[in-house]
Amino acid sequence: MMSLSFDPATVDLPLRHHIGGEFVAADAGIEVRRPSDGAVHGACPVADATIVDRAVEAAREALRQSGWASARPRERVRALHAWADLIMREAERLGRLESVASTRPIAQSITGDVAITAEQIRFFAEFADKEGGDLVPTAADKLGFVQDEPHGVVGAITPWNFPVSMAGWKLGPALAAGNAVVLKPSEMTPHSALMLAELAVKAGLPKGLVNIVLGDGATTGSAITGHPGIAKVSFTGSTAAGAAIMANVARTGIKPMTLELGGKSPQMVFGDADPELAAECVARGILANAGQVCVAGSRLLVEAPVADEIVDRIRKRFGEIAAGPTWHESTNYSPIVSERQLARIDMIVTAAKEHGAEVLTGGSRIDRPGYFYQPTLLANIDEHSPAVTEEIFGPVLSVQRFDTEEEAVGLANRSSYGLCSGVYTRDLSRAMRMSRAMEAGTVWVNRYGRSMDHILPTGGFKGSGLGKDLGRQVYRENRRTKSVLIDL
Amino acid sequence: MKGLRDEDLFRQKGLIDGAWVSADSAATVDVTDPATGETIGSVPDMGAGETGRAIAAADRAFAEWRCRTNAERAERLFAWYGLMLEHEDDLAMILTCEQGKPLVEARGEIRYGASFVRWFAEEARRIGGGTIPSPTSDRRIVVLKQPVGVAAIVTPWNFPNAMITRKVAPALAAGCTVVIKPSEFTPFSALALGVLAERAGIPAGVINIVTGLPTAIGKELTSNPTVRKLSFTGSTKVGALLMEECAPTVKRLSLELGGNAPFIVFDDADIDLAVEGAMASKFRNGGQTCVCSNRILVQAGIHDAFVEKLAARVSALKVGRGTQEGVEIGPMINDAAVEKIRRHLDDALSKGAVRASVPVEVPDGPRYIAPQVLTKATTAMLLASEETFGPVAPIFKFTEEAEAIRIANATPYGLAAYFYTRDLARSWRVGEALEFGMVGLNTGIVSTEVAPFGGVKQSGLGREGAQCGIEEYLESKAFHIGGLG
Repeated sequence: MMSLSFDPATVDLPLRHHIGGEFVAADAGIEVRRPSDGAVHGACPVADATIVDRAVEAAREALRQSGWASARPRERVRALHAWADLIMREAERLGRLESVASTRPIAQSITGDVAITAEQIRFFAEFADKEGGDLVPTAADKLGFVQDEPHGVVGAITPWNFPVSMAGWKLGPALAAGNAVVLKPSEMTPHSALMLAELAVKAGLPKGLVNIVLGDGATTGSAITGHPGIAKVSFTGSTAAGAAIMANVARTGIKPMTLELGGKSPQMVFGDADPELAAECVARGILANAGQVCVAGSRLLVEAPVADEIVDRIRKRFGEIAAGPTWHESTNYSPIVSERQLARIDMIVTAAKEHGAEVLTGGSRIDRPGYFYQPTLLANIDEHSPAVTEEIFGPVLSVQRFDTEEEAVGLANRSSYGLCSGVYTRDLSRAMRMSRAMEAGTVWVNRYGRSMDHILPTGGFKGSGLGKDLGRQVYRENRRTKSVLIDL
Repeated sequence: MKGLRDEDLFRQKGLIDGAWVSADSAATVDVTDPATGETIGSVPDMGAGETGRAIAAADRAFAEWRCRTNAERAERLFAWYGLMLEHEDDLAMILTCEQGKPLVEARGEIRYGASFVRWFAEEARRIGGGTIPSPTSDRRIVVLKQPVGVAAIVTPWNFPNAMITRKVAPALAAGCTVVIKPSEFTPFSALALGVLAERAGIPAGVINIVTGLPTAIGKELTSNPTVRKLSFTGSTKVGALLMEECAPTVKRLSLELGGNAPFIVFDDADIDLAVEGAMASKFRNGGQTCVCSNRILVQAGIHDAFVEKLAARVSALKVGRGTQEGVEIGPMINDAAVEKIRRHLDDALSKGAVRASVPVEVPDGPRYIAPQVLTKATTAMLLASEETFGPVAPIFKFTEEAEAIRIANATPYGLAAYFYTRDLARSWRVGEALEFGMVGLNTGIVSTEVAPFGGVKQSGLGREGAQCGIEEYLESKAFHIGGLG
């Protein structure tokens, strides 16, 4: 098999908006740096309100002209499957575009992220001719039913940690449900979304159904979420940014929102767990993408009698990483996305140390080009320390010990977030009790991470968000329901 | 009947088109108290003629009942439910006198039976249909839910009340009308429900009750083309016969038939919980329920401790007349039942089974059987392959999980199964591997109105209770609307 490694200098895609099925030239804006070596790889334009307006208008026009929402649902399924097929045919090019300036190693982006994106689009497409409405019981001289329909134009904003699959999460269900989309990828990782739009046109999706506007949150993001022509907002990113979007929507005109936000997810290891399995899952839960994952399991809660053994195993696993540029096939440990993000991680770890936390391993940046940070284990840590309460979005795992189940539940739920939680136990009753007790939108037992079925909805409680991605639910969130009552 | 607050609930006539009637031939069938063998009353021995008239009455009533709104039907069902609770004591007394189960269990059955009426009264308002995304843009497709029509309800003697409500409540909620044929051993519970249905304002002809010996009535119910649906609870043998008889007129069928429930205890089980579950699942109604555990499979490591605890509990059971305070096991329903249990016992003891419990004192009378625990049971014994339907708990020892699953599934039946373990992975492995319609994990009770009840393999067709219970009485009509711009 040919090596997946590539030379980043050979990867090029001009950074322009993609509106109405065409690339649209734009002035250079924010520098895009490669996290693997810090080199500048382009400049991301920043769409202002006028550009966003053009994109929304293009989307509305596409809906009007193409009949995307009113035509046979099977047509949407067919077109979306063709798009997914094309994505798979172009997996290598798309994977390189993904890996060049993001934190995603090429070995993971081609076979993982791109393949998942295509598969998710197929999965969402298949709802189009299967989800109907309800006919309701009323008196015989009346007919009552619930009719569902697309929102119209969906405004989507996606993060930099999994650029291509997050774009797929938003585009797939929105399009399957009959909407058009204006999507803003992160200004740090804009490349793969642009190519998705290009491939959509090639696959025969109506021009203007998928529009990509580049830019930052303050200018472009606000213009999207505040636009009166955007019927629904779907966002994945930080809790702070999500709150800003809610405020902007409240100010500019109420519309439905799906917000998939931050987390500070606990990993609870009980004494009766399989220690090898638990340690491996906990380690992977924080090493994946160097902790830059919303569902990262960043707080280890471990029952005291097994704590030393579990921590030792995790420390050993932390030593097995292979850090390197994202364009090398052998790399399995990601860089941090930016110098700024790296500095924030280091600041939180340093502050914890100053307040008495013990660094069991790691604790500083890796001495090599680019923005790499050591996998870090913090023990004896004050529970009010930002290292325990704030989402770090880096490879930092805090360790807290507990003696009783009740204490563990208290620690786990003592968080303003409620995205995920991991539970490791062999005991049936405890597994069922914990799955109820966790204040989190997802509970994983004896595993950590989503299955690749796409069928379980994902989304947080508390500060971790509103609404759900994935599953049947995301299709429904991309439709609105109308109650119809007819006197016969 | 003596001791009833409301004597009117005790009827000795059938109910056809709102009239309480005798058999055309004036013949009757005596009903006895299984505890004493004394006759407590008689019911008309009806035949094809009366059954045909009951079906015609149900058909006439159907035209009006189906057109009532769901809310109106629900209102009648709620009224019926309220009356059942109000008359709990009398209904329980009638039940115990004809069936024999302890009064406390009879009261439990009345509440359980009533719970189906409440559940389906509520569910009546939720009978919807659906709209389907059309494959072409000028069409709409709608799915209408409509009642099946006249339903024949044939019920057994072990739950003379609840087996009726579990079928009749969803039928009425869906808009169907019914002809009930209760067991000739326990018709009075059915007739008392008929009295309360009248008082609840359920119109004449919506519920009809024909009594008597089963053959002639059954033939008419299965062959009359106006009957569109038959729901039966009873033995697999009779179920298969009814299925055959219904074939020429292609009726929809719900069959809740026999079982041969395994009850598996693994080494890692909570032993006290398992003993508790075994008592509940084995000895309820004296072992005369289709979901009673018939084969208790215990893993070698926990076997002796489990046997000791179970035997101690069984040795302390109190046997007697159901109306007596503190009685836990009543008489068996009839002589044939007693004969079958004795045959199973003799066969097992002759093939090496050993009694592990202390002999329990039983009153005089031909219908009493002492509850007992047998160890060293093997698959060569009759009680491994046939439903004993009595208070005998045979224990089979096993070593490997796979062996237990193999033994458990080695039966043509597939109604209920139970198993006890604390291990998370084993819970799912075994739960998925058991070929049964209902599986209890760390519980000996699987009966509730909110969960589907029914079997796989030769234990039947269809499900009762839960949302799916009402689907058994509904047809789906696909309504295609074309020519829309």
